[in-house]
Amino acid sequence: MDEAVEEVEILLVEDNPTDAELAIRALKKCNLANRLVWVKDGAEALDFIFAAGAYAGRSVRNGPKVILLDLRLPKVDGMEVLRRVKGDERTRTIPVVVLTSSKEDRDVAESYRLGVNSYISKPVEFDEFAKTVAELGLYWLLVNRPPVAPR
Amino acid sequence: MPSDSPQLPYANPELRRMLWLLSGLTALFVVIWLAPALYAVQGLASYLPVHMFAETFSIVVAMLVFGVAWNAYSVERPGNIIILACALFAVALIDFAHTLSFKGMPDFITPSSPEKAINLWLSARLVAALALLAVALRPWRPLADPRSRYWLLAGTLAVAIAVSWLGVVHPEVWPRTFIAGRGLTPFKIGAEYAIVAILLVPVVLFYRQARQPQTYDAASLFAATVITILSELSFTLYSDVADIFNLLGHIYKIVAYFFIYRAVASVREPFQRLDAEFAENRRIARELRTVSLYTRSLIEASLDPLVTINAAGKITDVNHATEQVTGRSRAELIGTDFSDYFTVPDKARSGYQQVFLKGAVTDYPLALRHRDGHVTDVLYNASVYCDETGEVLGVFAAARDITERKKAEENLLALKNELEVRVAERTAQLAAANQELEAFSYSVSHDLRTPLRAIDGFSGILLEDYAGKLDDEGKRLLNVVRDNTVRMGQLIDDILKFSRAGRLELSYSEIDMEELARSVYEELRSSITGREVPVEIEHLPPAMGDRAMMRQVFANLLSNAIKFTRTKEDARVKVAGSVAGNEAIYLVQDNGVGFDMQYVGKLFGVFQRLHGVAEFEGTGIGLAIVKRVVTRHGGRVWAEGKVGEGATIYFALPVKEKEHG
Repeated sequence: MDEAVEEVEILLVEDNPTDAELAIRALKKCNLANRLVWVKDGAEALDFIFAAGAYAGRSVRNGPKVILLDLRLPKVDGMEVLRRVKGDERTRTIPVVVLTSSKEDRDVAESYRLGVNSYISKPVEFDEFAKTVAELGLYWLLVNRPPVAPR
Repeated sequence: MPSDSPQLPYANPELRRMLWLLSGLTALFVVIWLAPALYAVQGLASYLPVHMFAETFSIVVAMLVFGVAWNAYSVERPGNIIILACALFAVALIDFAHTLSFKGMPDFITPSSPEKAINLWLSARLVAALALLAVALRPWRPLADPRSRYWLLAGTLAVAIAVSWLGVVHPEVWPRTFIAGRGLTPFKIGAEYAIVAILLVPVVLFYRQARQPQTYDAASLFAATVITILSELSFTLYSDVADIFNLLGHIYKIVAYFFIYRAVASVREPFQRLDAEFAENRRIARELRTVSLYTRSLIEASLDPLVTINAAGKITDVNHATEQVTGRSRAELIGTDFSDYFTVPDKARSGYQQVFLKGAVTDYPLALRHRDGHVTDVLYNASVYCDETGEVLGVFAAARDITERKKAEENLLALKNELEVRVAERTAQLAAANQELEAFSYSVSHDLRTPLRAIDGFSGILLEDYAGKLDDEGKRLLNVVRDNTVRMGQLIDDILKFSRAGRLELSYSEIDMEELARSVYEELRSSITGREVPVEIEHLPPAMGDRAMMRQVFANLLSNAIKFTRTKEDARVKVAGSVAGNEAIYLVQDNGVGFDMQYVGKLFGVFQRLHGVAEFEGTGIGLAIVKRVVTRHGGRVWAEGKVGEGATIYFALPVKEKEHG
């Protein structure tokens, strides 16, 4: 378990199980879901990222390769998670992709202000959705080259 | 009688009467002269008292002339009167000496004698004749120097005294005028004729003067001179100092003096002037009364309480309105302290003190207290009033009852406050509603999508993972589900778009509408597949507006035009615009399927569609958004169309100054 956790590549923050399932299914199809952790609210996401609570055994420096973040979340909302990740020296370099149903301009603007790496509006059509998720998984895990984190 | 005179000889009725009188007196003289029977009077035993009486009477009349003329003198009266007065004073004195020297009188310094009396008599007549001559010659003007009348008096008195002294004290130095038994000497008769000759000049002059209306009694002077001549002629005829001619001469003299008195006493000019002045004064007084009545009725008619106060603050006059507002009568108010009738007397006092200081105050707020205690709010307008020299006499103050106004103001204020509260409430409600709406659309955009995606997603998974277990009908049904989720997603998107079009704040800038239309067309063009629709974009006037929203307008209109020409072989779309008045009007015209004008009212409604979904896709939000955007810009939209021939959608925007940047 620990080993698996160490190698987490995608952190999926999504409270809606159907959306989560659809996303995971799409990523699975491209073999990208093997090292994926799904957390259901913002608080759990922060615990995971900053190695607190249930994830106290983890190291902050050993973060995920990409965070897929919904904005509407129970407990701590997605904006707050984004603010904390981008506000911390140790986690700032982790790419965060907002994956949300909202097309509101203010959400887009606010996310970019906080330093989001990408803002994706979830398409209603599943085919579109699956395609989008697969593409961004491929991009951030395989195409994008992150800075070499000092370990 | 100058023939060139326009005046008739007898135009002056006074002169005509005189002429009748003089004719009578002359006739009397002639009768006595020609009727010897009357000589019987000659040698009257009692002539002395008669002479005494006649002379005394003439002296009295002469002195009266002096007294009246001298005392009635004023600087503007003619100097002629004073000349006549002084001369007659002298004549009276000399005549007095003559009377005392008359034959039969007791000795007066020297024994009395006819000759002594005649000397003095002739002197008096000469003085009188010269005086009449002088008066006739001198223009009737005031004395150049009013004080010269004293010199005149002194001079004539000196002459009179000198003559009297010489006649009484030194009768021997005089020429012989009468010789007892022989009668009058030629010198005496010559002297009388000389005097008559002198008098002829004033006779003529006075006559001519009397023919014109004069401010002095020229007719009386004319008569006096003529009668004096008759008197002189009488004295040329007597042979005894006590005979009938002597008596007649004295009588004529008295009559002549009487006319002089009349002329002097009836110098009418000042009295005429006085009369005129009196009449003028009476007229002015009448006018003043009228004016006074007029102003009084104005003052009384005023609904504003008016009051005048003196420097001490005491009321000097009030009008009816003041009586009413204070509940006190005029008699009660006048003389009392003005400030007593106000709720704050000190303020009233400082008010009228300000008026005295500054000359006026305007809209000075005070409250008048009625006798029964009720209070009237007033604004005072007051100013000082002055006499002719500018001396301040008091203050004139007018109060304006502002009770009604105050009430109205209070009502207005209450209404305004109420309105403000209501506006605040409404604004709060609106803000709350707006917030709710925002929250609503936010949750629509999030929460409605998610289940839709699930429906679509799991239907898709079903089709994918269980393809083998589903027959064709099952797959078709699942696809219907998926199609509808897509459509539902589109509806949600459109609702949000429409709501955003109404919610977002407009950011004004100048828009090149032609460029915008072209750029929108270019964008759309790339999304049209399988056909080419020629869109002709004419020159469009620029507009002031929100660029992003205006882009939406063109996008909706052009995509509609392209969509509804799909069934046409030679589809054509035209965009045009022009400025009319203070509006820029734009139109997008197509030759597509068009619409029935009876449904034109539905065209711009939300989710209103005039065609089946199967025929033309769309949710029916496009024109509703166009209308909302244009309306928010202060413009208007309308449409024309015909089934099968096409549609023209117009929108007009107000031409604005570039003010919102």
